[in-house]
Order: sequence, then structure tokens, then C-alpha cells
Amino acid sequence: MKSIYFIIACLGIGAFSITVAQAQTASNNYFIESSHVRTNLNPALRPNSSYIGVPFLSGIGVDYKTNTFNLENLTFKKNGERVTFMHSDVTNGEFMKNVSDKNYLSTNVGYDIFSMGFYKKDAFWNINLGVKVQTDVNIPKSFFRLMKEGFAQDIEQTYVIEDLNATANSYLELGVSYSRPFLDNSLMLGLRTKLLGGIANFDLNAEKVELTAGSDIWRARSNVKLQGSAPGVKPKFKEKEREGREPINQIDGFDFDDWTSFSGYGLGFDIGGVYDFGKLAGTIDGTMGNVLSNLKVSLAFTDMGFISWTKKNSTHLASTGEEVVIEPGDYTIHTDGSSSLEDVFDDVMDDLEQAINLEEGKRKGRSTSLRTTMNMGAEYSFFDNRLSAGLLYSLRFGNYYNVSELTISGNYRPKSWLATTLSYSFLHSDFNTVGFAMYLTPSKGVNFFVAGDYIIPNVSPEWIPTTTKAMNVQFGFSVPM
Amino acid sequence: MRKHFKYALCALAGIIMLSCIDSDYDIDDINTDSHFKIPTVPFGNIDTIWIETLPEIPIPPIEIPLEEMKVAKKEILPNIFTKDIIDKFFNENAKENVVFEGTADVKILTEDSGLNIEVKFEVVDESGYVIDAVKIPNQYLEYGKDQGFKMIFPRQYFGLMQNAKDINIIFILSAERIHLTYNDFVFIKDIKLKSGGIHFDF
Repeated sequence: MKSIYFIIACLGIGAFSITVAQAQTASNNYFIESSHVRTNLNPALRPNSSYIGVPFLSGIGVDYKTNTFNLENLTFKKNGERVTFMHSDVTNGEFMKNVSDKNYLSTNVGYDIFSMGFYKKDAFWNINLGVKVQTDVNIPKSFFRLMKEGFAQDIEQTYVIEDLNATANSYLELGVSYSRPFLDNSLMLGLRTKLLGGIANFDLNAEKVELTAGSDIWRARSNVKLQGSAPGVKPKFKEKEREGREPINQIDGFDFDDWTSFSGYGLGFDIGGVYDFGKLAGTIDGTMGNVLSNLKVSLAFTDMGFISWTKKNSTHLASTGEEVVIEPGDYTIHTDGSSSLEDVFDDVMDDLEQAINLEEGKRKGRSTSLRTTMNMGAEYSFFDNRLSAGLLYSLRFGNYYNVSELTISGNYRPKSWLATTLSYSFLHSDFNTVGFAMYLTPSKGVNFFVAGDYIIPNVSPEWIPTTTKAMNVQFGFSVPM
Repeated sequence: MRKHFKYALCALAGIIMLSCIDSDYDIDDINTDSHFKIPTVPFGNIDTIWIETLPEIPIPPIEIPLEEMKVAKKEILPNIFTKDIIDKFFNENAKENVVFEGTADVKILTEDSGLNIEVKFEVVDESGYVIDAVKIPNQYLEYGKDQGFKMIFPRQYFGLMQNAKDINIIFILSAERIHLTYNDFVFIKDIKLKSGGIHFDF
């Protein structure tokens, strides 16, 4: 069962890891002019003034997005108590209607160790050092069908589970960004270059797992690959003896060296632009000119790049692809008491596991791409720029699935030291949460911000999302220069 | 300044007040009893059960004529049940019977001996006592190969089986004349378990 446990463990790690990534920057920072973290969303966006982030507290953010994984979808109220979807009182139809074809869970936690930004003439420079971790899990509907509907006793049934995958990536990032205006200050272009130190990465891809079972025979075959990188990572195998049968090798965890060095190195880029129609509008008469005079549009691609993981720190495991066939005649219950039903059941499961058991391949280096995000925004301001309305479309390109979000925001900046935003994100808010951000940025003293796109948490007492399909929160402190 | 500060405070307080922590979803109170509908499980064969000790056969073996009599052979399958297997298959919440289904080859006496075998089952607990309240329907065999054979555990007895450990299989042989030899045996093979599924806790 070790491989099964291992895969479940990988999924678990994927589900509950937290990281810092550009994606954990709340989208509603995008239209706050005093925000220094919006540079992460588009390097052409810059804060009103120079700043130094308070070391270790300049930006901390957590982000969680899913289309399925919350307690409302996975638990049910039955006979006065809450039960999981696997309880026999929950019907197949009741649960399966909560499941999509692809069920994703994406988490990010971001931690800026240091950041600063300053103006030099009309250019803005930004330097940041932070840790990023990104995790994605995708579980197809067929997996939940197998779990919930299972097998009938007298009918041969086949389950084909395709594209079950989980990835996690963590790295240290040292970034330098530069932005400057063009076209008589109408166009702002920005570029960030990032040196990356890879900490750890894994990529589990169960491309296809096929399981057939009837009353006379079981068959299983899989195409599963697990690639991972971490300091000195080596898979451990355990030989399991079986009476009267060939021993089998089962994966039994991993060994690592000290976590004091990087496992790989990489390079990343963010690129973005903002076009202000104000100047152009001055050349257009009439209503159109007035409308355009307060409009800004922007586009950015962030986290384009790669990390190259070294051969010494990488492992490649894969299933054999061979079909495992299990027949009743393969096992024996001994009358001398040496075998219980549990022993036989374990043997059956061990044999079945051989279909997905992973074997180590040749050690070699590997490269992984960063999780690129596209941000496309439009902002229209009123009342001398004290109020504005913004629309931001984000599309994050994942290894196995993409996650998009459309956020509309109303931005209120009554004073130079106070800016607030109220937002709604159409694809994950489900009408039970809104976004909010507030920046307190006096010209002297410590500046503080808090922001979140899904700021009203609907959670259990343990802070596990109940009806919420997305949560994020970000805060930080800085000092103006 | 004061007005805007109040605005900022009110905004933050509003967000906090809107937060919803729902105790209905308290993880500690969620019933994690789970049911997985597994297919028929192949449990293999039981070691050949030799009948040579019925009755004690002298050496060298000779045929002992036993007319109008019944003889019984009790075979103990020790340590068959474990706590894990009881929890999985004989869970008190189970909604279906557990049935071990297989085929039996019987080579006792000869084809024309008129042999009838009544097979009784007893479930024995950890202290070695037969759990009388657990009634497993008897099965009937005769001379020949590939005879259907079932061990049915009715679900209403699962609560009584929580301390089960062994199974006694008692073969009661009757025939017009019984002449046992060292070569007489019962072989139960291709056992498959049929159940409503397994139970487990997340």
C-alpha cells in the first residue's frame, strides 16, 4: 500500500502547502495607486512614492482557490449529524452533482523577506527578496466516481482515471524591476528580472490509471510518473517478503541531504505595460474625448521563466505500465493459523498496488517552468481621481489546468494617506464573499496595508473553507522614503 | 482626518463582523465513517482438508467399514478474523450480508457411495468460546468436483462478531458404508468475498 499512501501524501502536501507567489498578491491591489505590491501583478504599475519594506514583514500573503474542495461540497447533514461524502447515507447523485469534470485546488503562500522601491528621475526601481511556494492539485471526476460509486458485486466494471496530478514548487526569488514612461508619459512599461534559487519541486502525473474488477478477475494498469527535486533527494525502497511468492519492492519514502543548499537555479521575467488615454483624449473632441481622458488599460505577463534542477538533486519515478491480473486461485488461506483474512486481503492489495508501484529511472536533471499569469486590466477614474472603477481579468497558466478570475472593483482614495477598494470576483466568490483592501500610507511613519479578494471567510472553527471557494489575504508594513 | 480614520475603522470592523465561522462544520464533530463499495474480493483457496483422521486410521491404513453411521471432522481455521477485517467487513453499520463463495472438490469414498456431507460453521471468539448466537446457514456437499459452496454471515449478527477470531468448519459425513483412506479430502477453492463494501474511518 506504500505507493498509494505516497501518492495520497503527495496530494495532501500539495493541498495544504502554502507559498509566496505573484498569484498570492490580491488582485484588488491592482488599482490602488499607493500599493507597492501591485508591482508584482504588473511591473509597470508602481506606488506613489518610494518605500522600504519592513524586513520580514513587507508582504505576507496566503491564497487558496478551488472549484470543489470545501466542506459544503464534501460533507452532508444526515440524521442530525454531518457526515462525509463517503458515508453510506449519502447517495451517489447527491455527492456527484457537487463534482466537476476537473476538480482543482490551488494554494499559494508568499513571504517577502525584503523589498524596496525608489524613484530615480522618472524611472522606478524595485528590489525584492522573497520565498515562493505554489501548489496545484487536480483530481478528475472519475476518481470521485470510483470513491463514491465503487463497484457492483456481480458486474464487471472498469474505471479509467485520467489526468490526476499534483505539483508543488518552492523557490527563493531575488527580483529587480524597472519601469519608465514612454510616449509623453502615456505609456508605462515595466520589466522585472528574477534570479531564482530552487528549494524543492515535485510533479506527480497519473496520466492514466485503469482498473477493471468483476466477480472472477481484477485487472489494473497505470501510467504514473513522479518527478521530484530537493537537496539530495533519493527514494527509499523496502522489500516485502511474501510467503511462496516473489518479494516485491515498495517505495518507502525519501531521503534528503541538509536543506542548506539550493536544488536548482533559474531565471524569471515579468513584463507589463499601462496605457493612459489621457493625452490621446486631448486630441479627440466631444464625448469620446471626455470618456477616454480618464481611462487606463494595462496588460502584464508575470512569472515567465524556468528553474533547472540538478541531476544530483532530482529523481524520476514511473510505473511499469504492465497489467496486473488478480485471480482467486492466486491466494491460499492456511489451516495452520498462519494466515488470516487480513493477510490475504493485504496480499491482494499489494498485488494490485504493483500496477501503480513506482520504479526509479535514470537520474538526470530536469527543468520546470514557472506558473505564468496574465493580467489584463482597465480602470476608469472619476472626481479628480478620488474614485475609480476597475476591471481585471487574470489567467494563470498551470501545468495541468488554467485558473482564471474576473474582478471588478470600486476604488476610493479620499486622501493621499488612505486608499480603499471594494471588489467582487465573479468566478470564485459565489455571492458569499467580496474583496476589500485598505492602505494607510502617511508620508511619515510606518505604512500598513491589508488586502484580500475573498475577504469574508466562510469557514469551520478550524478555518477550513465551508462554502468559500477562494480565500486570500495579504498584509505588510513599509516605511516611506 | 478623524472622519477618514473612522471610515477606515468601520470598514475593517464591517469585514470582521461579516466573517462567518460555522460551527456546524466543526471537524471534530464530523462523522467520518466511510463506506467503499469494493468488487468481489478474491480470497483464494483453503489448504486441502484431509479426512484421514476420521476415524483414526491404523498404520498401515485399512478400510474400516462403518455402516449406518455418521462421522464428523472438525477443521479449525485459526486466527482468521482480525480486528481490522472485522471493522472493514463486519461493521455494525453494514447493510448487506457477507458471503464467502467458492467451489469445493470432494473426494471422499467413491462416487457411488451415496456420500452426503453436511457442513456446519461455528464462529469462535478470542477466549475460545463458540459464539452460538451467530447462525451461519449449513451447506451440503457430496462426492464430486466444483460444487458450489457458500459461507453466509447474515448482517444482523455482525454486532456479535466483534470479538470473533477463528472459524470451525464441521464436516458431518453420512453414507451407506464409510471406508476412509489417507487419500480422502475436501478442497475448497476460488473463494470470493461478496459484501456491500468495506467500512473505514478517514
